[in-house]
Amino acid sequence: MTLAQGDGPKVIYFSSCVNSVLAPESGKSTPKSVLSLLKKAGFHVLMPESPKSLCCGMPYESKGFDKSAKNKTLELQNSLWQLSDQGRIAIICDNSPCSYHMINTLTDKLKVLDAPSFFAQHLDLFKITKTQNSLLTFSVCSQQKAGESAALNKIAQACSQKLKEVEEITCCGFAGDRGFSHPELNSSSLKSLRDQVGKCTKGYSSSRSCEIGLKTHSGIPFNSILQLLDECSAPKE
Amino acid sequence: MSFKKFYQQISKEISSPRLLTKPMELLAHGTDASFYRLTPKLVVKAANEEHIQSLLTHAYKEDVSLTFRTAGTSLSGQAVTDSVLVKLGHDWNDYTIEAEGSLIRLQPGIIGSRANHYLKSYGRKIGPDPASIDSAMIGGIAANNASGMCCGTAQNSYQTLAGIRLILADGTLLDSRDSTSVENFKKQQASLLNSLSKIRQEILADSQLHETIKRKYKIKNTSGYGLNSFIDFEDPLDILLHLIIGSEGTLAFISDITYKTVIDPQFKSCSLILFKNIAQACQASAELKKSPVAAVELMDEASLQCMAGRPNVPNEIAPGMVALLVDLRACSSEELKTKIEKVQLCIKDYGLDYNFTSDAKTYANLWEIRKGLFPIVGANRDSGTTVIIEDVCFPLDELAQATVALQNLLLKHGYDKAIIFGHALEGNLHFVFTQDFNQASEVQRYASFMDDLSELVCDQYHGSLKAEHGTGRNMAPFIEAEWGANAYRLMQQVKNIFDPKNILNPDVIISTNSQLHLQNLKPIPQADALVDQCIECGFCESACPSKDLTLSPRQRIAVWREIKRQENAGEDTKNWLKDFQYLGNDTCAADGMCATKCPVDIDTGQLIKKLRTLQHSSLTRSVAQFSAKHFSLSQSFIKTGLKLAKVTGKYPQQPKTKS
Ligand SMILES: Cc1cc2nc3c(=O)[nH]c(=O)nc-3n(C[C@H](O)[C@H](O)[C@H](O)COP(=O)(O)OP(=O)(O)OC[C@H]3O[C@@H](n4cnc5c(N)ncnc54)[C@H](O)[C@@H]3O)c2cc1C
Ligand code: SF4
Repeated sequence: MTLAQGDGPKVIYFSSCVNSVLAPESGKSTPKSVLSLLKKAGFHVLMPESPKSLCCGMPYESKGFDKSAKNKTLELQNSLWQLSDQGRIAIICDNSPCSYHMINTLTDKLKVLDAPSFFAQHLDLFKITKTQNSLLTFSVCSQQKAGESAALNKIAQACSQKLKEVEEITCCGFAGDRGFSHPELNSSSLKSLRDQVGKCTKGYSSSRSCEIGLKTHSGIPFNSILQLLDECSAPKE
Repeated sequence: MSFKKFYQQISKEISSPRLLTKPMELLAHGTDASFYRLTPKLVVKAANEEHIQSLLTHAYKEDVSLTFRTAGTSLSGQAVTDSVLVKLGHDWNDYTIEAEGSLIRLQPGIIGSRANHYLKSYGRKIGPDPASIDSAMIGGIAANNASGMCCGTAQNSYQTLAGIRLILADGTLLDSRDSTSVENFKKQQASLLNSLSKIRQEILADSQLHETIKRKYKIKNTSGYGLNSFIDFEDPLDILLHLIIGSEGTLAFISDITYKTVIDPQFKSCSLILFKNIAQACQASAELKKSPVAAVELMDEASLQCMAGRPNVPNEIAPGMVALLVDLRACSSEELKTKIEKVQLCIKDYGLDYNFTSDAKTYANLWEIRKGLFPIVGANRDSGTTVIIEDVCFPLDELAQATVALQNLLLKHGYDKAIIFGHALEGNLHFVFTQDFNQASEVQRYASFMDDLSELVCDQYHGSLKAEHGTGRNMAPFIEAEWGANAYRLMQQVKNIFDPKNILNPDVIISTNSQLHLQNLKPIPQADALVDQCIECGFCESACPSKDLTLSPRQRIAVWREIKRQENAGEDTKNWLKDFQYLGNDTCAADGMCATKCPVDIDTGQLIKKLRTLQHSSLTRSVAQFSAKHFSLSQSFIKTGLKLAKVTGKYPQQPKTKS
């Protein structure tokens, strides 16, 4: 991938491993959307050197592999520490659960932002043309815990006038990869989702694995809110 | 009584995933927020009226008792049973808004704050406002006649009732808003209605009793049945409907309820006003009652000590100091301003130093102080002890003396860390203390405290032993002491008229067992420092993705505590651990959303992750370490998961259809 080297401020993009492993079957992958957005907005983008070997450690931690989790976290921290010029350059991550985990495990000296929160703050850098589609948004649990749900809806609002938020479901239950091994957890948690779809034709969220379950149980495609923003935006003249 | 026959019949009519019989599930679902523990023989997740009718019919025939349960946040032991527990959850979520939001029909499984969410665009809400409204459900709110800080005695379920659809113990259905149903009911249940009219006549003929009832409902009262129904209404059908409110599932099943909604004023302001002593604060409360206040919350010195140093609370609390949190609500900023002026005028003679704030953050901060009181005692207690919250009410003009008397009573029994707070406008005081139920001497201490409390509240101050939280098993032995023999006899009659075979939540409200409040106390063994502070309130349940599949966070904790108890007692825990693997461990999303709802900040996912860590053999651990080291090659967990899913064909998976 070629990185945008705009005149704007430097920013580090850390793409979560799930976004490459679980890339959507059709359409742009989330990393492509994020890079395209950063380019349109004129940022100077930096990425860790061997991004594919880095991981925030969460998949290990949630399974109780504490030691492995800690090792991955430290590895990531070291890499970002250097790249960010000891925390001077902000880091954005494109998958909310990973961002949340990084914010809570990496040193506070590193400025980590969840990508939707980052772009929600920079909407004025884009020329946005609203889509006619009716959209369903789901704020994933880590985004809710971080108190950043508004970011998702702020972007969605900028991109469409026909919006609906998923109600009452606090967590989709996909739980990283538990949605694969215990799909019944996902279906139980999302049992009311299909009835909430109404006229919405597309769904948006900010966690790739959650989106897989959300798609299955809503019957409509679910993608990253970053892709929506990319589709609706152009550079400002 | 034949439970076996009952079960055989039921299992023909209700599909098996809705019938829980595993010991672990029985204990888990049997747990509620009270300090009582009874383990049901069967838990039924009922989906509809047909289920309820078939349960009632067979229960009636076979003499098996049923206890209904919505969110299980009850504190007085009215939602536990050792017989059949009938749980209502997401299947009972239907609602309709009528007459431009002035009426709302709600099924019992809807969480109170959801109902308010539905009404938001109309600028209205339901009247009852228990502090537990984000978790408690309509069934329990109505059946407990729950109320809170603004609701008072004017906006509770009893006062805002517009109709009920209910099923009696014998299976008869009544929809009070459907004239055909009412006609049929009047014919079918003529004798029941007649008996209610007779009780009314008896009360009207007894001027002393009539006066007692009037007096007792001037303040909040949820002890015993709502005898005010008999004097407030003439039509026996109205009496019946209002008796159901506050009947704690002992008279009928509530299938839906229609509330008259109330205006939800959007402009708010509050002030934390500090008084030198309780007498002054109570006197001011009485004055404030005449002014346009929405709520006045009292906090005693011990409560303030707990919160000292937090934003807006002084660091040093002078001995005897008492605070009133005064809240005002209005529909416009001008109205709010006028109200503030009126309140200031009302208490100007006290020469107090205070400010009203409308700043959203400060406003929320001040209320957090009040709302954090119960949890903070829960969080600071010794592990292994229970946190008890009692809920009494005194006539307002005697509130000052009564509060001091209550403080002294707590000290007399050695509850020196107890705190007292409550809804001063109503004379409703909550007090919280911790109690160890693991030793006989401690149970005895509680027993003598309760006897003294009954004497203080009933005989000395003519108050109520329960103002909001319902009678339950906790106060059932004291109802006669509170109400007198005559009124109690009528309450017994009420129970008998509705439920002659005593199959609906027996022992709750009416009991012949004078020791009921001291039996079946919940053991709280130490389980893990991560969860020992859990008060089993159930607030976490609604946020949990596995609650309808396997267990909720509260249930995971209750089960883990039980496993630890078994371990301590030297019992064999093998089977329990085996069941816990799937029910507790594998199906926990460990997302930590439970912690966002927990008043004592417990993240049950942390416990599960810890158990997962302890569980890994050195082999799996080294595989994990290998994969972590060679992450770019494998990105193993995700890929393995994907592969596994593809091979087993488990994914993509369609949502399971409702059974
Ligand atoms: C931290 C905390 C704070 C609280 N604060 C308050 C407060 O401010 N004010 C207050 O009033 N209470 C309060 N409570 C107590 C409790 O939350 C309320 O009484 C609440 O209304 C109970 O609702 P629930 O859904 O949990 O009912 P449950 O506990 O499940 O059941 C309550 C009763 O209703 C019966 N019932 C349930 N559904 C039906 C039905 N469909 N038909 C017939 N009977 C039925 C049950 O059998 C039981 O007797 C508090 C509890 C906690 C833990
Ligand atoms: S974990 Fe927290 S919210 Fe859940 S029951 Fe325990 S104390 Fe209540």
